[in-house]
Amino acid sequence: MRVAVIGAGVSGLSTAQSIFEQYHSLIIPLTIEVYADRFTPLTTSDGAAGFWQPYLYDKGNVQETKWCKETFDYLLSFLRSPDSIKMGIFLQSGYNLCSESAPDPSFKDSVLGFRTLTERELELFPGYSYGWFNTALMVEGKTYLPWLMDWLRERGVKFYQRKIESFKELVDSGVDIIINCTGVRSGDLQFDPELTPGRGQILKVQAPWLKHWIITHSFTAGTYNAPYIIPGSQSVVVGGCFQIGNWSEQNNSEDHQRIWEAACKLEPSLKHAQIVEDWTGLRPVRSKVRLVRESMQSGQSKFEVIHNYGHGGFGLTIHRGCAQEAARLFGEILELKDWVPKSSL
Amino acid sequence: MKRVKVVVVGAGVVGSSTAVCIAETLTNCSVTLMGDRFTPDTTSDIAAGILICAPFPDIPLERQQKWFKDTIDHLLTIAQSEEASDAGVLLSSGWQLHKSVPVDKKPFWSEFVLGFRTMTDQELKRFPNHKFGQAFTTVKCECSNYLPWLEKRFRKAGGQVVKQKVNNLQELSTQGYDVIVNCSGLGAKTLVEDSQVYPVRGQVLKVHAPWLQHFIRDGEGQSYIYPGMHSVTIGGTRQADDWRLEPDPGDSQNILERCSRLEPSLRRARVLGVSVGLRPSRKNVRLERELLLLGGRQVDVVHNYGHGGWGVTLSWGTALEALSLVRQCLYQRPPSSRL
Repeated sequence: MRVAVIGAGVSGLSTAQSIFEQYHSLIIPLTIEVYADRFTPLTTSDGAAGFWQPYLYDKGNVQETKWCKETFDYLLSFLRSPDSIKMGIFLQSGYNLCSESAPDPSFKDSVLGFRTLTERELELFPGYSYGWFNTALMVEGKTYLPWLMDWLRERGVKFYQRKIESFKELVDSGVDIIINCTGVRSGDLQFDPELTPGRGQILKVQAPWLKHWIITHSFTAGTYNAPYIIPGSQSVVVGGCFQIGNWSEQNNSEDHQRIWEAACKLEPSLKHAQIVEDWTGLRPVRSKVRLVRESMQSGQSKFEVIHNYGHGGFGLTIHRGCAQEAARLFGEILELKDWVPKSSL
Repeated sequence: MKRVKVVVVGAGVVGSSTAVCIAETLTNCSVTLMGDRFTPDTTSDIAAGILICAPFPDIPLERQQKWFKDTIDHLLTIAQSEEASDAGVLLSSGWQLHKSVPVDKKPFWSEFVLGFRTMTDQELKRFPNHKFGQAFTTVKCECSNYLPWLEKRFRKAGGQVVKQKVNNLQELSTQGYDVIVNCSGLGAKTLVEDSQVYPVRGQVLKVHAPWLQHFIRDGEGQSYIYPGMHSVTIGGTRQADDWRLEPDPGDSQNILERCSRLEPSLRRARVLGVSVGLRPSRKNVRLERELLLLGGRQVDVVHNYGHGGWGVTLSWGTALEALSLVRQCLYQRPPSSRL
């Protein structure tokens, strides 16, 4: 059987991994191919800070909260292994700040040591009167994606650098199942009115004295349009930009100024930080993640597609839960088509 | 009226802090900071500088609490200012682990650090050999930055810095000093013949592990991991009456082994260097006044030494108390002897 994954961001690679893990001994041979026009370090997943945290509230998308928690538990399980560094995984604690009291976030039971901020802690952040402290995980794309690719390569998965123009292209070449992880540009393959870019610009700075992430929340400006500071293993990511509908991947100097001023107000010690560079990425925003299978037809050929895209600003946060769900959908297809005896699934 | 000449002996974190407090507050004094060693060659430079400590047995707890609170409040203000990176001061969160549930679940300083609480069961899962833990946010104060930053402040306040080895207090009286503030640390053993002072040798490794963002401290502090600005300090040893300043390879091996058990990713960390410091230990820190007759002159002496492994932790608080003792000395001087 030939499986083609389109997209080599964290969703594409981790879905390939889950499918291999669950089916490589059931389907022989199982050929998995990954097609993408961009690979690490040039994907959206690479530019992101790599901080595990869903949006504060899931608005009823409990499935997404479950997938995020699954991802957290999965990543946490690697921490006792010295290889956690090769995966780019480590713990980091920090502050979620609000200007008024707010209900507890959806992820309070997923993270470690969740609690409300004390008065003295709030004194550190003038302008914010409420918030939470917890320990969360970092999973840095620039390390995690190469690790995933090595993992896949060792198991015979092949990678092809090219832009797939249509599902038909792959079906005509003999692919049986397509996994669609094309992120923000999914619309190029299949029109999706609910998918839109959420442009984000970040500054990468050197500020090695910062050991906590600080995320501020403005219920008027919206998610990630308020300043945030996320230290990583090599540099600190400073951000606060979420522009719906903006397709520009160019760094913008007005955004730079605005983000930098707000961050320095939040964390005065940044004044002495050295700014290394800016980066812009387009979050694949959707009302909810599209994680479904679809039977399609092209001419005489019938084929199956599993869609796994639209993870907005929480792709790294939710990737494993979604990859496992995509693998489950894969199993459904196998069952439906009698490609594998029911008893072995 | 002639300015009162004050000399602070010892340019480690305690001496430097005390000198700054005096120079900035007592503007009618001329203050000299005198030592045979300055940063980066002081004991303070070796210390990781995490604010945590154990109590001295015979000093009232409220007094020790004030020392801790004064120090952490002072450093928290710096941490939240533009000066933080220059001064080498940063917030540090982490965990203190215990193999069995301690009698005293809250150390005497628990209300002065931020967010102090017991660790949850889920958090303890990462440490299978430990049954109890405390989580909090404290401050890390790196002396290789902090001491030069203090010296700048001291000079700005009109202070003079003199590199000189002091063999006895008489010398200082001969040089015309009216008040001697003795922050000589381990040196007090010979300088004022205090037999209660003894070294507790501590060896530390600096490793490259930039993914570590939390401190981890085991039990009474035998093993610890303290991530800093440019490296992670891991340790340690506590060898009483051991004067060896050379690193011991056996100690390094042992430290790496113990700390890797706490934090497995350390096995992949590159060792950048090894250092040794001799903690200036004493059963209780000596912070008190004395009036001495030295070379025919009445000289006020304020002692501020014997902080052991808690020098950075108590530096500003004890400096403030030493300042108030110096003030007392000045007020109690008969007018004639000020001339």
